[in-house]
This record gives sequence, structure tokens and C-alpha cells, in this order.
Amino acid sequence: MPEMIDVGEVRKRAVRLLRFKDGLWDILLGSVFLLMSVYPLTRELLGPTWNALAFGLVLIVLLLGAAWARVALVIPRRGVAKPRPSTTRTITLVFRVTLVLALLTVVLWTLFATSVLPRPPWGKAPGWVHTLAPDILVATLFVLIFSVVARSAGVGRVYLYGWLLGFGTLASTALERHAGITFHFPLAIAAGIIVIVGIGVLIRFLREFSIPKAEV
Amino acid sequence: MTIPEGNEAQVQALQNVDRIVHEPARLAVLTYLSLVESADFVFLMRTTGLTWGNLSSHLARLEEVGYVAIEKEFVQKKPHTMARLTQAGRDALAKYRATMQTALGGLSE
Repeated sequence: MPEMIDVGEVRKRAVRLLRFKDGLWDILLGSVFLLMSVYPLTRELLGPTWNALAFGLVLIVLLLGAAWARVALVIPRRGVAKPRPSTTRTITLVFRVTLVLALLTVVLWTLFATSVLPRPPWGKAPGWVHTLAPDILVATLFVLIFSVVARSAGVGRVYLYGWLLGFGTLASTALERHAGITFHFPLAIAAGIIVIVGIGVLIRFLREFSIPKAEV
Repeated sequence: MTIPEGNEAQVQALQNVDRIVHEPARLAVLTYLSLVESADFVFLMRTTGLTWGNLSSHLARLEEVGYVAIEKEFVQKKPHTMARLTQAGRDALAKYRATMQTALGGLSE
């Protein structure tokens, strides 16, 4: 055990152990983006309604699987820590702000689509702006958000995830718009790499931490 | 041993340091507990790197002085121990941190 105690490092270590040490987050994240990458392809096969239902069903199965793995595999090895009320309040605030922004986006999109609000003058912008600008913005947001998470938790691989998902999304959209390729394979490759890394992290976690025999 | 001139106040502060908190393993346990509401035995073992026996004895000592509260509960018919930092423990840790900053921050080379 180190003799010097750096509180910032201790906090990062606790967050790493609680959120990133077991690889489940990585597997879930990669799987969701993998699903999103095949979504346009399966929509052509199943139709929009059945595709959306299948997507929802697979997502529920994934979430239930992750919850089971957490209870059966991770918690007995890693232990339990309940967050402080201040942490819970921060998480709730972030969740509420995200929800409000998402609702606002849906409302604005509906108002533009139904012509209640005049559409933004996209036609005046250069061609690449109205075809790829939103995706460049999304890619930049991926890189920024994942970089913040990586830095605050001290988990290097999360930087890579931001770049992978950012470039994956951008390349997929560019290929669809300019080459007509509906299968988002760059995003699928990016998501696949994340899933593989997650499985590797989970295997290492299971090897490194055995279930303690004595009373917990 | 002679005390270098100007360092008397720092040395005095070090002599008054809380030795329960000063022990590195207990300091680690208190620091981790200060970051969460409560944590179980396994989590503390994983984060501090202490062995079962070591952690058990340090937690017992911290409970004895009232810095940590231990709550035993049954989860799926198995005994489960949760540890929580008490207000006294939180105060002791804050005081220890301030003391060490005073003592070491002002110490001349």
C-alpha cells in the first residue's frame, strides 16, 4: 500500500474500481453502438416498426445481462460502495439537464418539421456544411465528452473510445451520403473494438479478483 | 536531537497529531470512507490493498474510537458488513489534514 495518500488519486481509484475496472461499461457501450451501426441495415430487412421493436428488445436484453453480470460476477469480487448524497444529487442534476436538453431538441425538431417555425436557411451554406456539419459536431462532442470522462476518472482507454466513436460516426455518415453504403461499418468496427477491449478488461478483472471466502 | 531553528511550531504540531489517523493503513481506510456514504469490507480490501486480517483489525480499532460505524446486515442469507465514517471520524480526518499541512507545509529544508 502506498505511504503517500493523494486524495485526488484516491477518488479516481475509487471511481475506476466502481465504474471501469470490470469492463461491463465498455461492453454495454460498444454493444449499443454496434446495434446502432446495423440499425439502417436491419431496417431494410424488417421494416421500421419491427426494427425499432427488435432494437428495443435487444437493448433490454443487454441491460438485463449487464445487471445480472454486475450482481453475479462483479459485486462479490469488487464489493459495494454507496455514493454520498452530494454525489447522488450531482448525478440527478446531470440526468435532469440531459433530459431537458433532449426534450428541447425533440420539441424544436417537431416545430421545424411541422413548419410551425421557419426552417433554418441551410440552403445558403456550402454543400459539405448541410451534409456533414451536424455529424462533425457530434464527432467533436464524442471526443470532448469521452476526454472529460477519461481525464476525470484517470482511465486512458476512454480517450480512445471518444476518437473511435467520433470518427466512426463521421465516416459512416460520409459513406452513406456520398457512396450510398447503408451499413455503418466504420462505426461497427469502432464499437467492435470497444466490445473486445471490454471483454479483455472483464477477463482480467475476473482473474485478478477472486471471491473472498470469509464473511463480507 | 536538536530542532532546527524556526521549526519548533511544526514539530509541536507533529507531536500532537492523532496517531489513530496517522497510521498509513487506517488513513487509507478513512480517506476512502470519506469519499462514499458507506462501503463494504470487500470494497475497502480492494481499494486499500490490505489483507482480510489487517483490514479487520484496523476497522475494529477505528470503530473502538468512534471514527467508523460498522453495520452488519444479511444480503441473500449471507452476513454483510458495511462501514461508514462517523462525524467524529470526518472531523478527525479534517483535523489531521490541517495539522499535517501546518507541520509539513511550513517546515524549512
